[in-house]
Amino acid sequence: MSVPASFRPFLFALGTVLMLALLAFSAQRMDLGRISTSAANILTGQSDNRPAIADQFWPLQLETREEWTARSADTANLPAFTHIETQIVQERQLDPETLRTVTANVHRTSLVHPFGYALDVAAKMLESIEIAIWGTLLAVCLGLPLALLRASAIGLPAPIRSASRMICAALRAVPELLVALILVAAIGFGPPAGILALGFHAAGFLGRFFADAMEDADQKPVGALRATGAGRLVTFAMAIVPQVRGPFASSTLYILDRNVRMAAVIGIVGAGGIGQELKGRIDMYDYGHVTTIVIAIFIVVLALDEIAVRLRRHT
Amino acid sequence: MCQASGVLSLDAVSFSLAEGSFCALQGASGAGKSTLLSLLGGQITPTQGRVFIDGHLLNPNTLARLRPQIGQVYQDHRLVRQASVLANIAAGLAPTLPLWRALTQSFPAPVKARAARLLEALGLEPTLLLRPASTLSGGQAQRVGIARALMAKPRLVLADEPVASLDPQTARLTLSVLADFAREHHATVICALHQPELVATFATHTLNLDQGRLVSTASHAGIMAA
Repeated sequence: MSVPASFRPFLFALGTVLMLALLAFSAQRMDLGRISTSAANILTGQSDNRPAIADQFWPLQLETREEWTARSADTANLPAFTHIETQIVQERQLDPETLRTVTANVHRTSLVHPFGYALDVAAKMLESIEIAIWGTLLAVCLGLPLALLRASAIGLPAPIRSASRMICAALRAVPELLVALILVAAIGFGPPAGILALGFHAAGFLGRFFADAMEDADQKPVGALRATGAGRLVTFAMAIVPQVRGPFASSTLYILDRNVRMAAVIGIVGAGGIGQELKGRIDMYDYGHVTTIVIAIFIVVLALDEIAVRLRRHT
Repeated sequence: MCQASGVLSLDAVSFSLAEGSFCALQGASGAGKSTLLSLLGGQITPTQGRVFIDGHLLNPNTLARLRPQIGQVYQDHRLVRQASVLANIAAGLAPTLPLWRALTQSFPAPVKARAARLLEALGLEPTLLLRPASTLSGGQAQRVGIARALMAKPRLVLADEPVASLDPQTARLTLSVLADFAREHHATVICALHQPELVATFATHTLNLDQGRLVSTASHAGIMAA
């Protein structure tokens, strides 16, 4: 269908107006106005109908406390790096005589681990990293055969190759979070669900990346190797493998990087690691703890980025 | 011992060469030199005509069996840039290598020794063996390609302008390696070659192609003896 050239600016203007009208309609539905009012509330500390939470995120929670009674242990023999602290806290109590609640000042002694919670978070973070590493291993173990099945250098029949391509696309299409949600329901809370969810999703990516790397490889040496009379597998090993080793390593690194970030997220649906802790703390309104966790995730992702950049230089 | 005849891009090309001969293929660009070499190497199948190697008809059925007998040198080298020079030369022996050796690129000592000897004969340092092929200059890559072709001691060597990126002195050295190989192993070398003075020095035979037709053949057995 061709439109006269003189007509085109009019159509363009009409299209723009229609698009703006649609956006305005959608903005109403999305309640976009609240973004600006919420931002103003958080910044000014005022709120119309809910407490401002900005203040509660600070200071970040690093310590853990446990109740200390004289019985608990010998005061002279405290665990390393801990100290005893006595605080006066106001507590509401029931006066047994008047049967009224009264506010009383209570001395509470507790054993303080100054970096107790930071260590807890580190342990959970390590769990997330372990989930990511196992997930990446699983993804390589599934993705490599999938890529080999569809590689033209191996030359399997077309139905097998397109089946492999479809499996990769299907694995990529389902987000980790959904897979994790279903797996948590199926096999329970904890790392196994996370490992499987990350592994399956990333296998779809690696299957694709590995296959692309093999297709992008220079095919001239393949012809030269075949001309010596070498079989398909030996030709593949000598002409393709040296070419794809670098791309394979860097896409695996990318997937590991991505999996560490995703491992933190899928914990939210109960698949283990730091995400599970994060979700628990948000649900308990422990926003100081949340800040600690977010900073921990931030540090790990930054460090990982740096490591990945350095490793890629070698591949 | 080689016969070829064909049509289309090559027409009325018919010749035979005895073992031990060094045949220079001459002709302008587009005359069909590369096509003839691809035909002899089995990369393309003639629509008409036949190729015999050692009395065996070259066709898609016999190709797999005959391939190890044919060493090929390509104009564009066709090396695996990311692999070591040793791996590239050892690739000439690929049909005899087990898969694990091909995968791990670990080659037996005799293979390494032979690769080193070939490199040395071609005027390259054997220390080059451990370098990745991507670090080679054009002339070095070309000689590595020649070493790969000679590795399996083929009966027939097909070389498409093997001295194109070499200086005159190195070109002389390289061609003498090919000529010595033909004499010592009773192999046949067919070599697309432009430089008349090199043809005069090394070739026992010449084939002149023009627009896909064989216009003249000559035998200069006397030159080699001199």
